[in-house]
Amino acid sequence: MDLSEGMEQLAKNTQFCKDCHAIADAEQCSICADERRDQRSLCVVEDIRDVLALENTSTHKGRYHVLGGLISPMDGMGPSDLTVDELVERVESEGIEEVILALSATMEGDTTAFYIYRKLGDLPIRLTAIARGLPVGDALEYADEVTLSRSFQQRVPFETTLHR
Amino acid sequence: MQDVILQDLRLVHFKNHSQADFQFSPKLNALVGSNGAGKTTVLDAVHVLCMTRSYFHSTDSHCIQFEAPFFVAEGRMRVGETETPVYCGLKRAEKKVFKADDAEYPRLADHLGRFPVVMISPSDRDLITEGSEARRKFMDGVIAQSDKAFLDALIQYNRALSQRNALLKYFAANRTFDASMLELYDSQLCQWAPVIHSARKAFIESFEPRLKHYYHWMAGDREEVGIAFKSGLLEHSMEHLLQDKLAKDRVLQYTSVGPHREDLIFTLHGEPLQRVGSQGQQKSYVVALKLAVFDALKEALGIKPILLLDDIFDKLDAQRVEGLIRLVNEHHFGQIFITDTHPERTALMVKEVNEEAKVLDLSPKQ
Repeated sequence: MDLSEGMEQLAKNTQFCKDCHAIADAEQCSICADERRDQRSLCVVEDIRDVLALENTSTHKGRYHVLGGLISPMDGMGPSDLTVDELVERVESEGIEEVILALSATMEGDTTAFYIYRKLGDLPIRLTAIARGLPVGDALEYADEVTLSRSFQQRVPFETTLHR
Repeated sequence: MQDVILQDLRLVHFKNHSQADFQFSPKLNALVGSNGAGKTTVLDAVHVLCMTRSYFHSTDSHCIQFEAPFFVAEGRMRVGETETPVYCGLKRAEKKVFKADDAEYPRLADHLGRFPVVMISPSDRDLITEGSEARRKFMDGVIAQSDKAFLDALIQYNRALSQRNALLKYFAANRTFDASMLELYDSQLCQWAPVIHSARKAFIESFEPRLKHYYHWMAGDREEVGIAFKSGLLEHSMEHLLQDKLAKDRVLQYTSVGPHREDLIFTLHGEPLQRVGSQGQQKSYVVALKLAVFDALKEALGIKPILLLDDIFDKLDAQRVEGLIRLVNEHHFGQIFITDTHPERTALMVKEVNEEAKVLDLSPKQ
């Protein structure tokens, strides 16, 4: 396949995965199509770049749900511009047991997480959010005060930090 | 108590200085030269290194010399035995680079309070004449230098406020309303508003005695000045205010209550200073205000801020200047920068000061 052919394929085949709404080259993306992935666990992210970042870590064994943005009226983004309703539908119909919120640690990320929390509130699932704390390899004294105080408030039993 | 000392300063394309190097005295530095020689610019550059931004321009790029592609301001700060190189550089249409010890801050706000500074300038009159925003900025600037939690609350609050206002506009434009969406932001505003309000309230309470002290020192004992806090939050909670004004906010399409509407009222004999104060009284008031800030920062941070006196002789009569020199001789201040258009007057002042003084002449070389 030469470059021009590749470009043509790209333009023709690029679409959003019908399940997770990530950019895909088929109706269903390769992650959603992979049956070895944990079908009970769903990780909620802002966009495809976050999927790639998390996939690089190989820590999440389940599937994803891509919101397509964060709630931000200033940027003209409301809940109806995101795939929140689709998320609720998936959780209700696909036998999801855990939803992991992996959103940016910004006001918009927090607002969106809170909105999802209220939408999913009554469903019998475990709703978790990724931890916020010191970057690995960083000295404590140089951490900014907000991160430091938050990681202090959300401290964890030491044993859970072992064998990782 | 230790002083904040700027040891030297290098400017490139900073306002009207194409290139300039200065070595400073740790005590008194007098900048002389005719109008337009760039005396005030040097003070502003010191302000940039202390506060990450100009005292006079809210847009950073205004500090770049006319038609130049960038500016650099850098110098070495010393507190006690610790020396810290501080660098600020800006290329047109790029992000400002601000470094201390050769490292950029994760957030610029982290620099505030490390090297406190107080500027007294003729433009301070704006505090009296301008809208409430100028006075909130004044008060917040002082509190933020010693209270990081306050600054953080303020940043979060303003962000949530912008989002709420955008949402109110969206509702109006689309003829729709969603109470649960609005509540996402109301809950955040209610979280941060009390933090901001109580920090400001505590600040004003401790600040008023200092202000009275310096005003009496400046103007004699006959006049009674004060500073009052105007805020809806003094009587009601943020939750109540938002609920109460919801209908109004929807019509206005912005949030009409909260810390962003708080104000300071400067008073003379219990009346608004702007109405009853003479030109002279208003001048004295703002100088007293700034000297009070100096004391407040000194106490809160445990170090003496740099004092920048721009054209101070314009504001003070000979007697007050003498009083100021007395304070200098009593070691009340740390490092001082002063500008003056009259070399003779400056020379006289330098002679009266017992501290190490340096006169820097900015007049064009013959």
